[in-house]
Order: sequence, then C-alpha cells, then structure tokens
Amino acid sequence: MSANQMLTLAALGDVEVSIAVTFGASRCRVSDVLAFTEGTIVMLGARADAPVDVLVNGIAVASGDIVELDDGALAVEIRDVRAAGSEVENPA
Amino acid sequence: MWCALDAPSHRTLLEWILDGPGAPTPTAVERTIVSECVDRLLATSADTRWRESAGKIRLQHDVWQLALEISGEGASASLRLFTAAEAQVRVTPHPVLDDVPLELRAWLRAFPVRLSDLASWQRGTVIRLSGGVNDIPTQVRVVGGPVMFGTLGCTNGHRAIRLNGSAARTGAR
Repeated sequence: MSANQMLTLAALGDVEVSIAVTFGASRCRVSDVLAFTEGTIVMLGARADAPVDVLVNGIAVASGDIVELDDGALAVEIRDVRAAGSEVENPA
Repeated sequence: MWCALDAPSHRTLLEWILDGPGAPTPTAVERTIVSECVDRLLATSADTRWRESAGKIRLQHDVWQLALEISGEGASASLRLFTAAEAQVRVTPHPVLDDVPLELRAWLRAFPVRLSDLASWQRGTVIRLSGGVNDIPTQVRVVGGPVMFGTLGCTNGHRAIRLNGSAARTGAR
C-alpha cells in the first residue's frame, strides 16, 4: 500500500455493489426472437450442472455451483474466486 | 380507360350529329349514336370498343385524368377521360434480417452486496439467491437490446428459461 493512499478497502466496506449471476447464453436468429411468446422455452448452451458466473458491477469475480439450501432456497456456492475479473455484458 | 360524359355533353354531341335536338330523354337509338360517336373520337385501334355504363362509377384506382373539351356552334361538350395510373413503386431493397444471429444471456436479477461481504468470499462461500428452485426470476436479454423475463429450468440436461413476461427495452448495454 502506498504511503500516499487515502483510502483502504475497509473504508469502502459499506459500499454496496450489484451482484448478478449469469446462467448461460445462447445464440438465436432475429426471426426466432421475434417469435418468442409467453411460455417459449429458451435453451441455454450451459449444461444444468455447469458452474455459473458471479458478476460484480459487470465484472466476473467468481464462479460457483447452484445449490439448494435446506429451506428450499437457491444459492450459489463459490467454487473459484477470480483474482482478475473479466468484463462481460452488464445486467440491468 | 373510362370516359365520363355528362347529360348536357351527351345532348350536345347528339345535337351535332343529328343537326338538331334529340329527345328530352335520350332514346336507346340516340344513346347508341352518341356511343358510336365516342367510339370514333377515342378509338385507339379498330378493336377498341367502348362499353356504355350509366350512372356513377366509383374508381378503385389512382387515375390519370384528361378533360377533353369539344366546342362548336356556340355549344361545347366535355369528355373526361380516366386511365389507371400505374403506381411507380420504387422498391427499396431491405436487408433480410431473419437470419441475423443474436446473442441471448440469462441472468438472475442483480442484487446488492456490501464490499466488505464481497471481500470475504472464498471457495465454499454460499450466496443465497432470491427465489426457490422452481421459481428463480430470470432475465433473458438480447445482448444490447430488450429484456424478457422468465424462470430458470432444465431441459435435456441443459439450462433453459421459460419466458413469462413481455419484453421491456432498457438502456443498459
């Protein structure tokens, strides 16, 4: 840490960032997308047991597995934490 | 082509041909005489014959219109000619977009986390998500475009999203 550094990570601890989990992607044609209706099933390329990416403000910081908790809620169990994130499509 | 001839003009043409007035109401013979006169005036070929039709004609097309005024002996007859205007439609070629590939991405809706919590993440950390196994609210975005909503599921061993909401355009890239 530089002697001139003004802030530490601890000072930013209460800052909230946006977490998103991406389940996968697929490619479609324009005509396919225009035909989408309620009930349409969009197949993703990822296998059901494939790890998901966890993004922080659009930066992939970790990957993990989707797990079901005892109370039926869904969760992501971190498998790998990425030291250097890669930017991907930022979710809304 | 249509030729509209009103009653006064009909009467004037007949008067010229007969060299005197016709009946107050044109007889069948007089109508035939005028019809043949129009035929001779306007025939474009020997095979062209005009078919007389009384009453108003509602033209169903865009038309070119020509007013033909014939004058003589202090009277005049007016023939109005109509012909269908062939629409000069300039067909501007458009690219066929149907087969253009688009990328779709499926997301769990974003939720907030404090940086201090994030800093403590490590292998094995469990991040609780909103929703249960069967109702994870998911967004499907056309990359760079609108977002649709659905629920996460599994089909043939692959993740899949069943769409349940209409698309909404967002400003997010």
